[in-house]
Parts: sequence; C-alpha cells; structure tokens
Amino acid sequence: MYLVKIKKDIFLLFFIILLILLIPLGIRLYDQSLKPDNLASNTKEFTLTGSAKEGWILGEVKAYDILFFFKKNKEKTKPIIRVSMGDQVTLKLRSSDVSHGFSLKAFGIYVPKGIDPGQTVYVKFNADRTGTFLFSCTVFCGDIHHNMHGSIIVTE
Amino acid sequence: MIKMTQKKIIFLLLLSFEIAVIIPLAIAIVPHQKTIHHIAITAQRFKYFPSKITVNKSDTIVLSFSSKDVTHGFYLDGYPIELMARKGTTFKKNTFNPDITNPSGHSLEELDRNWDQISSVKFTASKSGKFVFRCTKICGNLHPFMTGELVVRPNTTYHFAVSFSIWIMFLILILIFTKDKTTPKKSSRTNLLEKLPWLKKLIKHRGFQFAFILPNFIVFYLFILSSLGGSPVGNRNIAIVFVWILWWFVLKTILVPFGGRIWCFVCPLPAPAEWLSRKRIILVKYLPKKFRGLHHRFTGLELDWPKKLQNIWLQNILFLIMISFGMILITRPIATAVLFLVILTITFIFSLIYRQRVFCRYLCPVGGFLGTYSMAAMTEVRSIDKNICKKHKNKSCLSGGKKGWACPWNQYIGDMNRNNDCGICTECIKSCPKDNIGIFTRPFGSDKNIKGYDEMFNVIIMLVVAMIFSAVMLGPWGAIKDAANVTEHGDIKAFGIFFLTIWSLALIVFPGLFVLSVKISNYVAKKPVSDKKLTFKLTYILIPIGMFAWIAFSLPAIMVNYGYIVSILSDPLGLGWNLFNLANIHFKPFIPQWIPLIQGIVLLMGLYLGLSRGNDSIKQLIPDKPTRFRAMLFPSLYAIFCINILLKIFMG
Repeated sequence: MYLVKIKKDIFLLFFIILLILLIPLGIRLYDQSLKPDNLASNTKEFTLTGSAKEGWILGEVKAYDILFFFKKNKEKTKPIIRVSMGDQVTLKLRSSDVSHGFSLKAFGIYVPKGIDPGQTVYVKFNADRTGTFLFSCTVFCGDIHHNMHGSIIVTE
Repeated sequence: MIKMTQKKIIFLLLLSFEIAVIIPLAIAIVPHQKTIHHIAITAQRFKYFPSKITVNKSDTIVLSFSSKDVTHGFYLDGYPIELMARKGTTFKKNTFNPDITNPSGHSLEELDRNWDQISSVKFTASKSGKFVFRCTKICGNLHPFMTGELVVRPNTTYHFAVSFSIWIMFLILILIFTKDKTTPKKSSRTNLLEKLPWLKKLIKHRGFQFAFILPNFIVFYLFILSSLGGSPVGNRNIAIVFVWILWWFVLKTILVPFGGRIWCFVCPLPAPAEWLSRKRIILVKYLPKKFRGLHHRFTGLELDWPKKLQNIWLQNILFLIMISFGMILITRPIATAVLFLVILTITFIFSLIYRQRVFCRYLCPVGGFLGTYSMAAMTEVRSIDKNICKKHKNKSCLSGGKKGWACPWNQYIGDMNRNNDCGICTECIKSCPKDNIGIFTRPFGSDKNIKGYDEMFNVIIMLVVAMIFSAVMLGPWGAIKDAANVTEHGDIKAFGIFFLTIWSLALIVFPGLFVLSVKISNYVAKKPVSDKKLTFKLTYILIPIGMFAWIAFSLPAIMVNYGYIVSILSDPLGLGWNLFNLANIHFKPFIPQWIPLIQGIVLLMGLYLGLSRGNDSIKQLIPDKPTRFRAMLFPSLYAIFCINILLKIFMG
C-alpha cells in the first residue's frame, strides 16, 4: 500500500540510477565506435601523450592523472612500444599540456605543425625493419624537452 | 547650497556635463611627436615582458616576439596581427582575415596553417585606446589569462569614463534637491501567476522543480565525470569551460539580476541529499501531527542549525577561501571535481544531521552573495494579501501542507520582505491552501534592508573580489598570476602575500574605509540617525555596483573565449571527438577591441544604479534634502573610488 502511494518516486529513483549508470556506458560505446575497425591483424594502434613534466606517456592522460605528477622521485620511465616486423603501426599523438612535436627519424616521420592540446594527430608507418628506433619531441616544451624520448622496438 | 531652485539644478547639471565632456576632449587634442618604437616582447609561461606598452597615436611600432620556453601566441585585439613563437623562431599568421584571401577556394582550415617565419612586424598605432594582446597557443594551466596591454594615447574613452563617473555622482547628488514626485508611483509590481494562468498550473504541479533539476543534474554529472576523466587541460575540459566561463557569466549577468536566487531553484548539487532527507523525489510526505513545528519527518537527526551561526559569516569565509585558490580552481579540472565532490558529500552528511536546506542557506560559498545580490533582483515570491496570511492559522507555507513541503529555507512568506533567503523552490505556492502566493516582477533594486554586519561584509567582499579577480585574471601583471598559481609555480611566500592581501583588503581595508566614509558623512550631516543604521542602509549603494562590476568582469571571459565553448561542445570529454565538426576552430575573440568600452559603460551603469538606489534607501530615513545630500557625500566618493579602480584595470 505504502509503496503504491509513492510509486512515482520509486520510478523516478530507478530512472535516475539508470541514467547514472548508462551515461558512462554510452560514452564508452560511442568512443569505441569512432575507432576504425582493425581489419588486418597486423595493424596496431598506440596512443602517445606528450607531457612537459613527464615526457611521452603511453595512453591518454586523464584529469586525475595530474595528481600523480606531483609525486617526487618517481621513476621517469620512457615508453617502449613493441611491434613485430611487417606491422602497420598507427600512432595517435596527443598533448596533455602545451604544444609538442614528434619525430621518428628512422621512418621519416616528422610533425612540423606541432601537437596542440585537444588536437589528435595520427601518424602511420610500416615497420619494415627490425631494431630499436628512437622518437622524440621536436617543439621545445620545457625543462625535460631534450630528454623527451621513447623507443619503438621492432622484432622479427 | 541650501536653496536650490529647479532652474539652478538644470543649470548646474548642464554645466557639470559640459565640463565632463570638455576635459577628456582637451586631453585628446594635445599634440604629440611621432616616434618609432622598437619593442621586443618575450613570452614566458603566463606572462609577456614588457607586459604593458604605451605609445602615442600614429607612432610606428616595430615589434619582435620570441618565446623563452614553450610555444606561445600573440594576438593583438583591434590590430590584425597574430604571431606565434617557438623557442628560436617566430611566425606570423599571413591570412588574418580568411574572407579576403580565399581566392583559390581553399578550406579555411588549410589557410589556418599558413604561417610565415618572420623576425619582426612593423605597424602604425592608428587606433587609440587600450588593446590587449593574448596568448593563442595553449601553453599551460594559466594560458587563458596570459595577457599584456598596448595603450595607445590619448586613451580618450578611458578619460571619458573617469570624468563621467564623477559627473554621475554630481548628477545623483544634485538630483536629491529636485522635487519628490507628489504622487507615489503606482505599484510597479505585477503578479506573473495572475497574468499567466498556465504558468501557475505548471508551478503547482509537483514535478515542476524536478523537471528543471533533472537535466541540470545530468549535465553536472557529466561535468564531474569530465573533470575527473576528461582532458587535464582546463580550456579543453567541459567542466572548466562550462562552469567557470559559461555558468559564471550566465549567473552573474542574467540569473541573479533578473531572477535572484533562481539558480537555487535548479541547482543540482543539494538535490540528491534533499531527496534522501525527504525520502521523496517529487511527492510530499505530510503528517497530520506536527513534529517540532513541521508536518514532516526527515531522515536522520533532524536538528536545526545553531542560532549563533544563523548568519552568512561562514559563507563569507568559505567564499574567501574559495577565491584565494580561485586561480587553481578555475584552471584545473581536478580541482573543480574536488569542489563538486566535497559539496555533494557535505550536503549528504548535513541531510543526515540537519533538516531542510541548511547547507544552501548557511554554508554554500556562492549562497551568500546570491542572497545579498538577489535583493536587487527583478522578481520576487511574496504573498498577495498579507491579511489572509495573518488570519490563516495553519501557516502551511512554514509548517508544510498536503500539496507542498514546508519552506525548505525556513521562511514565513506572510511577513517576508526581502529576497535574501528565498530559494524560489515554489513549495509555498503549492502548499498554500488559500492560493495567496504570487511571483512578482518589480523594478531593479527593490529590497533595501541590509540586516547585519555579515551582509555588509558580504557586499564589500564581493566588490573587492571583483577587483582582485579583474586584476589577477584580466590584468597584465604576471607576478600576481604566478603568486596565485601556487601549485605550479611553488612560491609559497608570494602566495602568502597574495592570500594576506585578499583577506586584508576584503575584511579590513575596504570595509574600514566604507564605515569611515559613512561616519564622516553622518558627522557632516549632524547625525540624523545612528552610524550603524546609516552604514547598513548605504551599503546598498555597493550592491548594484558590485553586481555590475562582476558583469564587467565576466563579459570578456565570454567574448574572448566563446570559441572554447563551441569547440568543447564538439569534444565534450576531451577524447578527440568531433561531434559538430567544430572541435578545432581557430581562437578568435569577438570584437575584442570594444571590450574596454563596454566594460566602462557597464561600470557606469552600476555606479548610477548604486547611487540612485542608495539615495532611495535613505529617503524615508532622512527626508531633509540638504542633510541627505551630506549623508550621501562621502559614501558616494567611496563608490567612485571603487569604480575608478575597476576603470583603471579595464580601460587605463
């Protein structure tokens, strides 16, 4: 009887809870639908985000990650991307603070326009040689700019 | 002075107006020698050096621009110059106006990329006034506030604004001596609910408030998600752009002046806690037997807020704390997330300890000024016939009825005579069995009852913070920005000085000067009323002034940064989406060269409204005109002092 009296409110409560759960799900689904289908098995995509404090970071940098940048004496690891020979590699380049540049000399890749925050720059190359190749930032971005490297290891 | 005929008044007004016009014009025609200025501007994170350049009209400027650290931009308002500097090289955008140079049908985006490497730019300062140059390349947290100024003399608009500010004081003080209108104005209030029966029907529906809160709730939920997991860059994060640019602007320029506390009606932050407290979302839980004065029971301890804290001091202090870290709050998405989550947590805890909207009324940092500024707002919720309220024993508005909750703000609308504590939740309209409550429109600045020092301080704090924010965020002073940006810059000492300056200006210097000005005025007027009473009454001058100062402060945020709003809509979560194909539009402020003039006009409007409403507020208290003139004199000087600080920051 009591529940019948407040059935409107119970319905609304469920509606609100549903919204709270569905919204993040919807966002994730839409985000995934944007990515091109990886038809060939040898295409690989990596996200590299430039940070003036941390150098290159594999993956997206989220707002809450900033909190962990303040940790002192944190080991600054340089990202290593491992692919095998013959892979079609796509790098999604992002910036988490200022303009960064990108160069991967071995495969003739150079982004002269820079990567601004909010922008996404895609670079593609064919990993046709084995070895370890260095990529770096080409637009001065702060104290660690000259040390802002990462490597791509192409194995057999 | 004592005898003022109508003729004399008109003569005085015309004479003073002419003086107010002639002086700035005279300054403008002083001849200057043409010179060539070689100016080298270096950009460093969040500041330019030199940050303020002063030249004379038709001088030639040879400008070179370089960056000491990351990529910076240079966009000069009003002059078609846009530069970009990376360490070592400088570029000039060669297609400033894409409409003119688009012969080959290139897309605009392609043209955007046309940058020429240059060593310097040469141009003539053909327009006079103040022109801001701004960074266009996101260079870090404080990027949107990285500005410098080019002042081309004679700065006639600024001189006009200053001389008019003084003239407005003359105008109001002289107008005191005009004849009072013999017939009092017919009530300029109209009851919207009577005029619009459909609105009344809608408001009486139990789901009315919820229908507004729900969309807002979803939007704020998205903001919290984005401020945690979205882009770490402030002006690429929807939470920052929509809350601190758009919401703040809409709140200050539209919601508060027109609707008073209308934001409290739609605010989603205390809503979940209120649902929990009431154990209802839209329905009413009515008990025939009263429990401690109300026909409802709530969740938890159901305490009432302690008597000693029933003022807005806590709100004043919390607002000042929020403002001290304002620069961090509005540039770091994570700080905004923390603020929202803290508010949500506190409202939940409070809903278990206290009953009704205690958080909103006594703690919410923005609640304090929403209250004091809503006194000037152009709408009010009031009872239609006070006698019906008097005779009605049950007082459903205060204790709750079958169709509506007891006033969550604990107000008895039967004798409510000001907007301060009315959250416009529309519960009383629903609960009143006599149908005796209306929503009225009224002239700007109608309630004039400032009740205590807490409210006086609130008004002055708001005015001072408007000045401080204008100086920190819109001014060219990099050192202040560094001090405010303590978590990045790390200079604790500078932040300490910044912090102490804010607190002492807001709590000691400006309130002290104001009280002093009223004291002197009251002394000169031979004490017609007590100092305290006059102080509270004349504080009212500062409400429209503060309100318009905030409008003038928020205007450039929207005119310069509207592009962020557009682009963020296309990529709301910073995931690289492009929903409406506008995610990467080029930064281009909207008529930025007119911003100082618009700000000046807004401030002068505020000054006029403040002084005239201040005069109205003591009309009954001091009917004798020469006495009122003296009582108004020094507080008016205080008002033009405040206005001129702002004019200097905005236009000088």
